[in-house]
Amino acid sequence: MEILLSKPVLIGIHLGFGIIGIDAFLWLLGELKYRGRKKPLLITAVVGALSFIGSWIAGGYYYVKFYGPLVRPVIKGGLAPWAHNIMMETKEHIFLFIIPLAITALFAVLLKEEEFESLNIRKVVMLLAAFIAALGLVIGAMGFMISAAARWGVIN
Amino acid sequence: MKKQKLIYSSSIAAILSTLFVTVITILAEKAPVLKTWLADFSGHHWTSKSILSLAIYFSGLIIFYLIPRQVTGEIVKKYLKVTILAAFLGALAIFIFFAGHNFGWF
Repeated sequence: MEILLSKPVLIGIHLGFGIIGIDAFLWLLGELKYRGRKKPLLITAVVGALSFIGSWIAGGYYYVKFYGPLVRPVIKGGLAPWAHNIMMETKEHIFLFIIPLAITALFAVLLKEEEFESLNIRKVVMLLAAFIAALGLVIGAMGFMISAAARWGVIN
Repeated sequence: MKKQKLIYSSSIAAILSTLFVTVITILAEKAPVLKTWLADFSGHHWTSKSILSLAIYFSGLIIFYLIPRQVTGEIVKKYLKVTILAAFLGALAIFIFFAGHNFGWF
């Protein structure tokens, strides 16, 4: 448990689940586009939503427990304080959008193929899956900048 | 279970949750009393925002599912579009706000 809750492992879990979540929603996009079978559709959406929840819990614990007291002062005193002021502040808040969006996409793929056709919502659900993946990628890019700013803050 | 009503309710709940996070984030930066209250609520302002945003989402999901309404494909499509737009605009508003805060624009 001690290793699991250590700083590098928490970051790894946060990032790993985030990547699985992004990949799952990109996969879901493909399944929707090529009218995949119901089971893979559902599995990808469940994996995506659960992965983002895992990323949220690991990242949130790291953020509250370690980032604020240990990393934030290093970035603020380093070469790129904007990495905290803009990137981290934005990242930590827009992450909160992802879970409701992912659950909404999950509910959408509960529909049967014929229901998708009769409701005529395939394109908008594809747009939602693409948006979730894109938001995840933006958040990931912000995380990379924040980590780089912390490293350069230490070197500086 | 009416699946289209579930998607519709989840969309509205997600819109409300997005609006809440966007508004409270900006307001809390402008009103230290609110940020202190959020920090006191759970021990950290971000944890409080997380808990409250989830509470709003799940309450909205249940309430809008239980409110009687005939939900058509057009309504589901409309609310899904608004959900995506709300999340996009919310993310943009938060980014612009913190960029402005950093560069002293406001």
